[in-house]
Amino acid sequence: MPPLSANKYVQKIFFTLTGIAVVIIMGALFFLLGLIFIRGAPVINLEFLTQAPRRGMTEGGIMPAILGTLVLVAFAVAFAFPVGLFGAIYLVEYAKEGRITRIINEAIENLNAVPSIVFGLFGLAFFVTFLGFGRSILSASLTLAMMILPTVMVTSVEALKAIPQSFREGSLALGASKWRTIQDVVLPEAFAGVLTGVILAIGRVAGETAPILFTGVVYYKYALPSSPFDQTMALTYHLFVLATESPDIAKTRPIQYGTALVLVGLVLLVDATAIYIRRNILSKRRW
Amino acid sequence: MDAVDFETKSDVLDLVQLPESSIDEEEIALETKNLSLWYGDLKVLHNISLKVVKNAVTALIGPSGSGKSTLIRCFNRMNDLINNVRIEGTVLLDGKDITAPDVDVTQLRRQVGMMFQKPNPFPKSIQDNITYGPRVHGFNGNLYDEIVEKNLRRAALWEEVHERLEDNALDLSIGQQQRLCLARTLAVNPEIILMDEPCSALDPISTAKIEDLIHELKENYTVIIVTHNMQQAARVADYTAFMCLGELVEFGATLQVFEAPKNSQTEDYVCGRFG
Repeated sequence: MPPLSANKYVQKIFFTLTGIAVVIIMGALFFLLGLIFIRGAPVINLEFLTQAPRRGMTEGGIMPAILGTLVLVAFAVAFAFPVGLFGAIYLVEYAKEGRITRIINEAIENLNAVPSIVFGLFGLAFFVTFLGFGRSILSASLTLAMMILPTVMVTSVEALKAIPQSFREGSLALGASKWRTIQDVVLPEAFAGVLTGVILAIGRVAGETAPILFTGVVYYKYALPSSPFDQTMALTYHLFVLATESPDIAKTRPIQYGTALVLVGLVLLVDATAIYIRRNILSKRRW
Repeated sequence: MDAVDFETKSDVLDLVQLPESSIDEEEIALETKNLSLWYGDLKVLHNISLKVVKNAVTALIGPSGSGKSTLIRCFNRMNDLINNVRIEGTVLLDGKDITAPDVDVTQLRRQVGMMFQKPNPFPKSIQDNITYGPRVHGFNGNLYDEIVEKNLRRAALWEEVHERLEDNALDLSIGQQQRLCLARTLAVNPEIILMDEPCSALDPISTAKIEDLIHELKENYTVIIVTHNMQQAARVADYTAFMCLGELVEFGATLQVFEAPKNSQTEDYVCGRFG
């Protein structure tokens, strides 16, 4: 009997510990989201979403920042998507498994592990200065694109690898070329996975501050950007400035929470879209 | 003939009316000469010399790992998909060595179609499965409906699916899927059809349907079928090649290989003593 009860005792302790861990995780998440929601929701209205800031950013809305973030993300995806997808196609469909694929895979992993501030400095040195794009939407979104490239590529690789080899064989055996096979048989089926990767990357990149800090954002800009060489406001940087450098930090506090709520809401919306699309496509998949 | 001595087996066999092994007089669709193949350092095919008769069914039988599938994958260069494959010897199709590096494999594979062990229709509609091959080869007319119907009929599938051509091919039963794969292969007008154990995933009724089709196919096509099932080889094939451990042990008219094998290994295999 004694050993049994001791076992039970140990079991109980570990069950409790695992339970506590879950409570901590969920608690932290709900506390964070709850706080942002409770403090941020009251300031959110049509004016807040559609107007520019006024009176030293203590009044008005955050529309230029929302727009700026959307533009940066759109450009970043436009750059990273084709490169990531084509890289993945090379890796899965063309490259022979061996030293080179191993080096590429490791490079991608390392790229993914680089701190975002380092990307920011790289962007400053390379896109802003060396290529002469200046501090601009172009430089900032290219820097963001570098950051999400590994995510796009890794998810695309997974999506391509998930396509059964028998589909490729069926197409090749009919005399289709390799590219034709990829284009007509592999990519349509891999689309769900690739798209999910892109959307996850969007969610991630929308919340980044460091990579755009030196490369293209400003804390206040009256006119909306009109070309890729303009600078822009962005939600994350706006929040940072409001919380640390605005003339009257206390007065901007509600706007800070409102901005945070919009940012979080945007990211959650994007992620929810990814989950929805993925589920939708997977439910139609028959293999 | 009264004086025949029945003491030895070979004497008995002399009495059986065997068709003369007359492959050399037939028209040859495809021929391998001293074909050897390595996966890396592993030699998988050993000096295979085989003649495939035109408009006939040739079966490749033999135990697992004997190289049957590897051999037919030389005929449409599907081994190209695998790394570290090395080939020596020749495979002649229309007098041309198709193992040569300058061969256009897309054209070769249109000429030499293939059905796989597990039906692998594309996850597209039934009609798109049929038209895929013609589209790939640049057919762009408005005869797609005709192509779909003709090839589904050839594969004895039309009656079952003509009302649901837009449906996804993967909604068909496995047996129907395999016939769809046949229809898809026929749609590019091949001369030779390779079948890699086409019935191994099928139930007996679907298997019978495929076998019936094979009989009809040989009027217009040359069929090479790999099978584990010796009864199947006996039922469908005009010629049978017995392979073991990468070697072509025996090759001849099916009746001869089954009834009067010249090689004791073949005899053991077809009698079910090993394999």
